[in-house]
Amino acid sequence: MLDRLRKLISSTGADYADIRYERMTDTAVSFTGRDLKAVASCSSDGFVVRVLKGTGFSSATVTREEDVPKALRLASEGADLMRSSGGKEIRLAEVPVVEDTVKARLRGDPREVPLEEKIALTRRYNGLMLEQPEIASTQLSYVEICRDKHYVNSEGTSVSEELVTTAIAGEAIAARSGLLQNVRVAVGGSDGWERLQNRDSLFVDRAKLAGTLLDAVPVKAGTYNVILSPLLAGVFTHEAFGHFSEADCIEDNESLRNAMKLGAELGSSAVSIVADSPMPEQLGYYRYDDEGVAVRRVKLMDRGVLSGRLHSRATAAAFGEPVTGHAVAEDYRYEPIVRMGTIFIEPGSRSFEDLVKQLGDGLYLVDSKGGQTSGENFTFGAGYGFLVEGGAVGAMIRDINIMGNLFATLKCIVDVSSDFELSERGGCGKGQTNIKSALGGPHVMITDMVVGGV
Amino acid sequence: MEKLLRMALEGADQAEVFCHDSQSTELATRDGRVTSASSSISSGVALRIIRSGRMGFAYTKNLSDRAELVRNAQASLSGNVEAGYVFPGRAEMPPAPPFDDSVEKMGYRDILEPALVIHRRLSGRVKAQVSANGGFGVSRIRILNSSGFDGSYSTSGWAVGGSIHYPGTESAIGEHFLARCRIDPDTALIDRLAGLFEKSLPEIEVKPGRMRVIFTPWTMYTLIWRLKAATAGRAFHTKTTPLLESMGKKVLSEMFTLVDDPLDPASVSGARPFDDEGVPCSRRVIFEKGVFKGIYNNLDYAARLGMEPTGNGTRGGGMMGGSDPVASLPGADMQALQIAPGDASFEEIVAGTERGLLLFGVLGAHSGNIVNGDFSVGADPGLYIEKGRIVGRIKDGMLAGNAFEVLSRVSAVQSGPFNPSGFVRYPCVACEDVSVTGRNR
Repeated sequence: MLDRLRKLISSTGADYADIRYERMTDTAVSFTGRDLKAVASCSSDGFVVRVLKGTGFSSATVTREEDVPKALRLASEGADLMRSSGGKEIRLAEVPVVEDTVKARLRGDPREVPLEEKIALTRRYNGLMLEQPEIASTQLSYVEICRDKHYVNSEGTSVSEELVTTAIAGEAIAARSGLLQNVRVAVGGSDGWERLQNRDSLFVDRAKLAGTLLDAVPVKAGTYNVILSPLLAGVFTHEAFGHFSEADCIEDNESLRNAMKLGAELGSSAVSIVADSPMPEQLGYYRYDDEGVAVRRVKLMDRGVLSGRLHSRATAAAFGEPVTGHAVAEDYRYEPIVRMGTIFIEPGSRSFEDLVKQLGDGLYLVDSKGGQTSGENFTFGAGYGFLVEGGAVGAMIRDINIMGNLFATLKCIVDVSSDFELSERGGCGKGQTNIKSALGGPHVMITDMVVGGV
Repeated sequence: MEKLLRMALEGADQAEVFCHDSQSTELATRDGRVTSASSSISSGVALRIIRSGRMGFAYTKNLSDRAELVRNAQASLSGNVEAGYVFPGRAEMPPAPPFDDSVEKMGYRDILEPALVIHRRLSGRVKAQVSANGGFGVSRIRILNSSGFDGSYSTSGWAVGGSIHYPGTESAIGEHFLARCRIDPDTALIDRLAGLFEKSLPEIEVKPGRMRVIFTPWTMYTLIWRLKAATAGRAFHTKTTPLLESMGKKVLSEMFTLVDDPLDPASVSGARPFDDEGVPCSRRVIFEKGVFKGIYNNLDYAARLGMEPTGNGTRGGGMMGGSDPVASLPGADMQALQIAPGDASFEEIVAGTERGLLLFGVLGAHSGNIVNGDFSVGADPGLYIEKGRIVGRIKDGMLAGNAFEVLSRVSAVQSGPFNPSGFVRYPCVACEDVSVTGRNR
């Protein structure tokens, strides 16, 4: 395959060209309530080419090999247009030439597990949720994505890497007298089939939680001091800070580049943030990005001071900073963009109980219902929460969404706990869906958070 | 495709072949300079088979091995997924949406030139960073099934838009233009955008409270999303909708009428003669003057509910969460929704607002308890109105509520689409007594 790819880009006449071929197998089992709604295992493939001509850089994707020459022509036209119209000048940071093959390291290879076993496991967890009080329905799916990637560039790099990602994820919906409450659930990762086993108690607990939420009260709108649970803190880190550490998000905005200069003191001294995709046995693991660059751990913030940034080869050159291996594509349908991968606030030394006492009055917010960012503004939703009064966790609350501004909020982080947890399911939607966008952290206490409510 | 259908039927009672081919090109500019240019050519085939009331499914992006695709679909029969429906046969079909073949001959300059027009127009009126982006593309869908259906149609689309960024941020307001072929962007709308930007420059700390919120078309999806969830056949089958006992009852304001019309010749988004299962599309009323009138479904949920299919079978959304129409079984969706116009101009609605938000963008519409109709979103941006005038934009503003309650308090609907060439052609809708909070302590 690598020789075929080399041949395909051998006559572009460009200053640089690369090509990625991927064969992807996805397997899905999906339940709605008691009904099994979908079972399938399918293979598909495609090519992504990129061309640099002078300072013009462009890409094209195709699903048929016979269309690769046309893709190269389209990419070449795009690069010419950028150059001739006075567009942004693109340069690629120099990187070592690499030849490598990486196989997935799995504890139990899901590709060798019969489809019937995957259906049975999903059915079991789904059934456990449906058995819990006041559960009206469920959505639960087994999802397995196996990517076999082959990358070649005109500099001589050639990398093949396998990525195998699995999850059993969905939601339980509880109903009572016209009121509906849902709770999300997910197990999974990039380290094999075993991770999905023996998780009964999690699915039972999540379904029970949905029933409990029927008795929770909607949060009142206002500005609160809060403690975020580890997974919610991860969403906060991802949305509020992580996207701004992706160089392509600020590259074309001069004022934000100035605000985000390395060495800037942006956060409180309690905050150290790391992007650590090479960490083994976690959802976001990969060895090489989709430019054939080895990914490395990057300390993005060190005790409140901006200390690193995530890059593609183009953004590394534009910022004059080292490459990090974070140009990642969802699959063969997409060109790579800068993605943060696994991100978290490093744990501290305080216990959760200490943080609650320190909080005094405020909110303890738990679980994520997703987040979104627009420039330096962000929102994220909590699955549920609790009122905290006098340093004690009290009544349960629901319908919680938070909004903030990156620069204001990072300075409002008071302290972090010593515990630590990473998510098992990703799904960041920055243009493409990144199912490996792992996040997490310790409990995090923040002051003055704007919470929407009725 | 006919050969694939025959092969699939050798081991099945029914079979359906869905083919999708597309080609698209996108270009982005910032301050008049091209920042990215990319193209995509994609094809794919999905196969659905039914044997003894059980369904199998498979897809491929590269039909090099028909036998493998059939084997994959047959293998998925082992899941025993129930299929109590029959694929639709030949029927009289509505006309396909107009197709403009000029799009097939377009190049990057067909985006760059109008993008630069927008850039220059905006840059001449405001001192701020301006993004102007666009793209064009064509796609073709063909469906064949064992009931005798063999239909196809092609679509063409071209779009360009511009955004103005607030100083020192990436927060922006924008306007977009969508058509089946290249058009000249409406300069009056570009000028309106520049005017709204200038009025909303001051960032204002707003005292929390309940106030009027004017939903612009591209924020209306916050509420529409909840209405779609509640009116889906699936929600009625699983009894997870607040509207379970509400058919024929008035649940929203009588000023609110919602129609799904894939056949409207003026629409570009969502226009199609038949759905992704070969069921003819039609104009369907979902809410009429606040009265709940219509559930939408696909073949599967129509059969489960004992209803006729509504022509809303939609591929995309994907089993894996992606948006590839080939990689997913047909769910149900309404993609050509329209809100009936009211009788007030945009200017009259703003002028009639004592205190409120003109909501230009939202963050977080996807989170929250959607099944119950609840929402809690950030305003990004929310233009703040006092005494009928836009005086700035809310700082860290959030609004929350329940879509059914909020839409029962509609006080004004614009007399026509906010942007007749917009991605969505909704009017602005003003709702009273919405909970709004902002940074104010």
